[in-house]
Amino acid sequence: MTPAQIEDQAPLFGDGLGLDSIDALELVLGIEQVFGVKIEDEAAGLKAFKSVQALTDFIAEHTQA
Amino acid sequence: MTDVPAHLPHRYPFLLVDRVLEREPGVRVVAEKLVTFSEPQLQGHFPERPLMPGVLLLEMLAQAGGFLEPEPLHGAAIFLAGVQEARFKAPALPGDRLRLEVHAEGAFAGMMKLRGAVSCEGRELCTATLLVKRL
Repeated sequence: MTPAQIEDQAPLFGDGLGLDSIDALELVLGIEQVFGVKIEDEAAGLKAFKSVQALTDFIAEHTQA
Repeated sequence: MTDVPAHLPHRYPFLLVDRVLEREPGVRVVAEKLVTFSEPQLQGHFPERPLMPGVLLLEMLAQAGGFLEPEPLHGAAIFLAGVQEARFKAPALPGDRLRLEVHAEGAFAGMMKLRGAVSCEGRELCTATLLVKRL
């Protein structure tokens, strides 16, 4: 799969891209490293990892300050 | 001194941490494992040339990582979920005092990433990144 094939609204976990809990941790650590945005807990993760678009919005929202 | 069996649920012949030297829960652990000729796994690995199996060095790091958890793990064991970039540079032999050093890289939703190294007398024998899941 190439990045171009990933739809912005596709869910990251489960039926969408099929990421698992290991990927979730890698995403959390990578996002913190690259953007300095911390996804604190599962509740925040649930919101941020809904889709690529949701993740983009989450990062934008937390980097404006 | 940390009571190892009181913290880890592992038992003979699979308790692979003998002593905890330094412990900062959630951050860093330094533990020790002493290797002897009498280890059950060395009887077959190998009869003429006993050396600690590489996968058991990873298990030692995982068990040492258990001490990153502030509370004892009885009833809430930690399971190995992934191994990345494992390197085995030299064998661990009978008589070796192994230093197990583990650093927490991060955690999310019960999954924890650890960076670990097994060394003996300042020589690095094994390095690996482990993913462990608390259930």
